[in-house]
Amino acid sequence: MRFISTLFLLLALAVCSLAQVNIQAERYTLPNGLTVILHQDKSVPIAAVNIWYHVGSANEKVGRTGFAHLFEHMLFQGSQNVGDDQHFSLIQEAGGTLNGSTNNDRTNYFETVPNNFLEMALWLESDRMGFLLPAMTQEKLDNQRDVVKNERRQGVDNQPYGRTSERVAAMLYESTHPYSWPVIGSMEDLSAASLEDVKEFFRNYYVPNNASLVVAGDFDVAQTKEWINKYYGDIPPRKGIEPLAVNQPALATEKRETMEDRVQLPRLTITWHSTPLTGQDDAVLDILGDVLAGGKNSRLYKALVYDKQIAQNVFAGQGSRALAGTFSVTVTAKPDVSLSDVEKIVDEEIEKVKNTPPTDREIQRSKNGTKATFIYRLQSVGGKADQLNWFNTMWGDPATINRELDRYAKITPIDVQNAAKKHLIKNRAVFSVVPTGKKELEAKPMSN
Amino acid sequence: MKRLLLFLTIFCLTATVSGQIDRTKKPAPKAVAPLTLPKIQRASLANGLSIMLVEHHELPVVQCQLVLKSGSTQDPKGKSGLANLTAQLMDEGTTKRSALQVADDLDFIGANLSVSAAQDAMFASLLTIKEHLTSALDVYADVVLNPSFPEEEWNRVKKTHLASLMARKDQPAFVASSVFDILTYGVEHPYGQPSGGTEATVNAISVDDLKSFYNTYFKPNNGTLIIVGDVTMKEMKPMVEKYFGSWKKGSVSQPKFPAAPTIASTQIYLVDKPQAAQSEIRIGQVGVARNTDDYYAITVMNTILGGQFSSRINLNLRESKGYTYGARSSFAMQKEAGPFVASAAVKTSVTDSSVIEFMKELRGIRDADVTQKEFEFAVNSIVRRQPQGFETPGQIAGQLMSLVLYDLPDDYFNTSIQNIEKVTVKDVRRVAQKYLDPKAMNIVIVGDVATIKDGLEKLGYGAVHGVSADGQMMH
Repeated sequence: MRFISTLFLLLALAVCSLAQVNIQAERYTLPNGLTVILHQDKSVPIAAVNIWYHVGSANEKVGRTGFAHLFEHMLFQGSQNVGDDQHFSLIQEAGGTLNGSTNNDRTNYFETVPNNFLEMALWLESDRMGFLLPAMTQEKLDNQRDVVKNERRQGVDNQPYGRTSERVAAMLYESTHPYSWPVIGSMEDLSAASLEDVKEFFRNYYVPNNASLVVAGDFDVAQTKEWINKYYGDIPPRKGIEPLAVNQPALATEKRETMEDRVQLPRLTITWHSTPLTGQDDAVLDILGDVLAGGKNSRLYKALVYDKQIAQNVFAGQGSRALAGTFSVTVTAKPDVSLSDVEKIVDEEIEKVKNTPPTDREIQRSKNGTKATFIYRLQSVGGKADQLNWFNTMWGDPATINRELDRYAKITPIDVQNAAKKHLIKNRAVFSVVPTGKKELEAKPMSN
Repeated sequence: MKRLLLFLTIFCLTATVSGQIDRTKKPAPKAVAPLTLPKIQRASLANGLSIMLVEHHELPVVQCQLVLKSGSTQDPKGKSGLANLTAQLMDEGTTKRSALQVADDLDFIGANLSVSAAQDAMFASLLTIKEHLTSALDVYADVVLNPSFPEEEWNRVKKTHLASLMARKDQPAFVASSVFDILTYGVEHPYGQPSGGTEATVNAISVDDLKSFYNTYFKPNNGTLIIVGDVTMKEMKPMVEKYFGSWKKGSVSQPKFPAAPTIASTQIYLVDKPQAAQSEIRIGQVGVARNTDDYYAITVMNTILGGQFSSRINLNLRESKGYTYGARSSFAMQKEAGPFVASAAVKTSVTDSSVIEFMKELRGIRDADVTQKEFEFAVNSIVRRQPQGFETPGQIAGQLMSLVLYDLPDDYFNTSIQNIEKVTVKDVRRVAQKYLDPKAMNIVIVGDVATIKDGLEKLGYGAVHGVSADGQMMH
């Protein structure tokens, strides 16, 4: 026995420099299908409750875009046993913090409370999963529709470059593809959402068998399991939620568009279809993103910002999503710089990676940075709870959190070169944002 | 134990089936679990550098935060932006490393280093995983002690900084806040100076100015090094000695502040952004310094007024009216009196209605006592929030930073809760009346003047004043 454990320790030390993350979590499922994940961390007397519903904007229908997110707002407006606006005020009076967020693939809700309020947090979360509709009114819907329209104005319409992501999505995807519309939705669709739409959406997706609940922090396990049973056990499941089946799309040609906007600095965004989150190249493309634009010594930063000084900043990276991924490069240029000049240098640098594998140091720098960032993300119980739900929802097992760094550890320079060759191809979406009246700065097609 | 658990599970399921769960009752809180406040260990070096250390062994992470008690308020007249740019240049080359070497040495170990300037202080922060602590400290100390301010790096950073000053003018939220500060504090007061500078002031700055600013204020006796993480004082003290021991002390003067201008009557200032989808609103006046005896009463008062989601201002403008995605108010209680500001981005067509509602709330909290329910709500939420501020090394370092900046005692966190609990309903009204004067506030709005001007002129604050995005009055 002692021998075995010593051997084990040696093995553990051997892999330590690659991956030393060890988050213990217990997962079980209630009879109604709710996935429960518990993680103990006794360092501060607080507890995080974090629930993911496996529904995002990708589950919306054409003509009803923005619905998943509008719905997220409705979940803070009270339920059968929780008065209007009480969800926020009860958590805040308890000294807790809370919010929710919606993306293409999922909607999450989370609160961190002093641990003596954990039961109340579970009561609140469960009431809006099981008993939302009796409290839903037209008036509340109209009010939150106005709030969401203002969220859109603030984040998109009144924001420099704010419409970039929805314009690029429209270039990349057919109009029926679930990633073709923005999470926030369009003003027209938000206006069109009816109370009946809201109710149907709730009945379809806000059920225990489409959700996973994480409790992380300083709590009594047996007591917490009892509470979870008590508050969630009687919420009925719904059969027949079909997972979305969509293939990774591809572009048949290169596409180019330009938007004039009230901005001072031109900005170029080049986007390629790549691979979904669980695809083999996802982690490789993360490293490629670092090689191209992670830090001052990265290829694009060095060329565009440091040496030639024609750019203000650069970004490159893989957008990891469940159904389909994209890889993008964004360069904000200095005033009056032609985006054609920027594009030429971006292409030259990408060509170099395709022709010669990156150096070992570039790859190691990326791996080390990935590891550190991953550890930094685990500093709060709220952060850990959300990560556990991410790994459970995207990879099917919360324990994959402890293997996440393995995805990166084995990647070689040649893998990165091959991924660049495979994914950063001619068929791509090139989007220019130029100051109003300066269309001549757009990235024009190469006349080779 | 296992049997008990099984029993409980069965019991619960049975209860569910027979509908015995009473969901109408909110579960009562259990007994409060005590928070162990971080034990602050202190030491210092012969050169005057103070060290504060808190052990935090949950993850193999170390956070360092060097605080220097001089900031952009020390920018010389005509050279605003100097503190900010000095900070930006510090990791752009040292006597031992080029700019690219500094970045590569840090990126290779996944450490985050940043140097920044605020109004009252400058910060150099480092976050690293413990296995790379020595390498990370080596670069950190190099950046703090030996910056070389290379001319060519300065030319590059300056160019980038000028472009970002241009780009900021595209952001209505930034323009609104900066115009508000300029109008409220005037050109003579350091809080009225844009901390990033302007095109003119940045162009007036030279490498020699950066060096001289650094040489004047980056002194160990002007600084405190806060360390929080998977370390002990026993292991850190020799390392701090090794890396920071050669830093030379010097005398550092503190700035003198002129009085901020007084506001004779509430006026509206408009910055035009044609066809804007929203109006960015800032309403406020000069507030109060951090060392006020009314700190706790003001904190409770502002929590009720606009300090969190469930506050009067947000519940009214967002949840009741649907004018905005979020509305709030805050007191910037700094070394000197920072501003009180109420703010929101609202739909263009309800700009005037929003100002009416803001002013109604600003008067309301003065004109009547807050309800007992609101009062308890605010006190509870502040008191019970305390443990969440001490979770991560970064948060703990942030808490310690406030001790350093505002000369608070080490037992401050033990007494602050009691002091909040001493505040009364009468205190809330008293400080509202003392520190909020709706008759003497600046109302700054960035929006579509053609659409919003007429409505705003009917509110009783006289003709609106046109202002440029730089805060200059237009005639």
